[in-house]
Amino acid sequence: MLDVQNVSKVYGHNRQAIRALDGVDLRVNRGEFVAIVGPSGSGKTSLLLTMGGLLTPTSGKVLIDGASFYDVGAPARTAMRLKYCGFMFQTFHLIPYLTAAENVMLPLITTGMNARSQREMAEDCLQTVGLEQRKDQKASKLSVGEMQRVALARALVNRPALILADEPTANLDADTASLVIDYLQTFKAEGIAVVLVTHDDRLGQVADRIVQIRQGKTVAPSDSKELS
Amino acid sequence: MRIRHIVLKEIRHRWATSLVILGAVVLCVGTIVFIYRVRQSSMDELQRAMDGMSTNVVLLHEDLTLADYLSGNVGENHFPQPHAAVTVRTDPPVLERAQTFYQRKVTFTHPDHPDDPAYWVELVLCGVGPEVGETSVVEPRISEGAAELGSTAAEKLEDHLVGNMLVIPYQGPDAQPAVREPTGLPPHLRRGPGDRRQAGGPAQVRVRRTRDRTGTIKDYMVFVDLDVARRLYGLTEPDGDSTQTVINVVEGVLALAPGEADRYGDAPDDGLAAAAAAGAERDAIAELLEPLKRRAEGLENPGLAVYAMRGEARARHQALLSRSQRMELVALGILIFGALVVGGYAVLNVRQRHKEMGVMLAIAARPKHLNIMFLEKMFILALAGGVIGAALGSITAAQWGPPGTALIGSWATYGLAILVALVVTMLPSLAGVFVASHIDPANTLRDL
Repeated sequence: MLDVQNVSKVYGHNRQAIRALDGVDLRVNRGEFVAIVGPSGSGKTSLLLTMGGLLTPTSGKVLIDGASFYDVGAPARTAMRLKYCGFMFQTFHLIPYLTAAENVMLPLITTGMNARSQREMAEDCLQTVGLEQRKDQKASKLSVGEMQRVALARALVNRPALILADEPTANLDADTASLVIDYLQTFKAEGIAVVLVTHDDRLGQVADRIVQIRQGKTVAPSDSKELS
Repeated sequence: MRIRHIVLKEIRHRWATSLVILGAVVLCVGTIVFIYRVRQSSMDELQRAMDGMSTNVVLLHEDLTLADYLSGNVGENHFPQPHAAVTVRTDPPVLERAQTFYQRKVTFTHPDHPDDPAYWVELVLCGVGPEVGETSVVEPRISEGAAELGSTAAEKLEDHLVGNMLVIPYQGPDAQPAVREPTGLPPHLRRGPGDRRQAGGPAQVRVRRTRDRTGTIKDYMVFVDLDVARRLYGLTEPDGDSTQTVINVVEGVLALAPGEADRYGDAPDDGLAAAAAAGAERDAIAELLEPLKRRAEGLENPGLAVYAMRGEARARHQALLSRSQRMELVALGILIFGALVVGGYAVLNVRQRHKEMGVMLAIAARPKHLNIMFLEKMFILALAGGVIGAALGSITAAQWGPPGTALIGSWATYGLAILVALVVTMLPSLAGVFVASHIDPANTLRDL
């Protein structure tokens, strides 16, 4: 479904050049749960952003369902992102002055969908993450755990085939982190591919595959059983 | 959910920034509206004063304009003799009716007796050159075959008002008049082929429409070019005395034989016919010409308003110009200040929303959506600021402006307010758009 082919990313030029990714190859199938691990500065986030069509690689290709992310123009890339990807971030990045439901609706505002359908889809997603009672609460009034669940709902609202998450449990307490992990496993079971960057061992344990990355290169892949 | 929904919530959320931008727009618009209203009111006041001086028709030298006349650019050598004219006043219905009645005759009313036909003054217009502009009167060019001002419709008259000029096409020196020539005209007013006094060229008449503060046409001021009038009427000036020319012109204009008016056109004109029948026109002529005649005879005539008008009007006009220039400088300064504030806060606003915009780019939006969102916000603030500023400007002008400044201004005032609001808001907003269009979602997310 997602095919990363020999992707390299270099920041800067000449002597200041930093090679964040160096010939990375990675394939993610539908319903697969992949954890990307590695030390700080190893290129995890660069890889995730590249996979999500947000960071143009210096070389290599990123294919999603056979279509290259970076061989099309920015508008088409945005449309592909909206069609295939849902994003979760470590610090959630909800818009504080919008309600939970409105935050979830955000990916839909440029789709031309009518307001009622948008709201229904958003409420469905909030129900999925158990927040239907908090839908009209401003994001700034939500607890940290609730914020991440709203972010999860936002990542789901466009019914993506792939969820890309950057440290989704880093700011959460153990119980909430477990809840988020459970949701991610549920999505995986529904056929959604999940790729996340994490330092969390629990996420490593539930992943189908762990990709270790060091100095921009993938180290020999291992499966979750080997890690545990 | 629509983009506007997010915009409105963001305006409320960042109310302090929004308030500063709104305040800057209100300041700019309010100042401009205040200055505009004060200036407009001052012009009205000057106009009223001029009306009070009872000179609405001035015979100007061909090189001069009304602006020259008022601003004092008129040297004494332009007017070696009394140059001004008759006290007449008209209003659109009269002018329109005159056009209906006879295509080349305009009827004016007397200011003291505006409704009494006995005091109407008729001016016969005999063609005009096409080169007319508000500030220049040049040697008229004959426009062969130009269409006759033939319509009886009022709007047709408006069609022929170019700027402030009434253009009456000239048929050419050999053209037969489309309308039967009035046979009873005094010799110096007759025109047509073979009339050597007509060979000098067409007359030129300028009509200035004066509007009050509500935009309604208050009256028409008519200016006749003195030199053209001389040539038109083929008058000689004994001893170079322009006064005599004026008298002759006015006499010629006015000296229509009683009873002739109803022969000029197809439609009888009750008012003129009645006036003619009553023989009152000659009395009106005599009354109007008396001051000029006395002046021409070298008699003292304190009642001749032209000198008083010229001096006082010039002084007032200069004072007004001077004050206007100072106010325009203030307005310019405030506009620049307002634009800088708006531009600065627009950029600040984008920086405040940097992460928010990055996330939106990451999850769905394209840069164009962010720009629309940002410009829509500024547009809403511009409109709100324009309305509030226009209201405040009008209130302050009514409170502290010249006496008689109305609280409600013309549509032009509010159009100006909205225009200023948009210019002072949307142009500086482009700085914000520029910053927003350079947001890289990847960098934004990496900073998070």
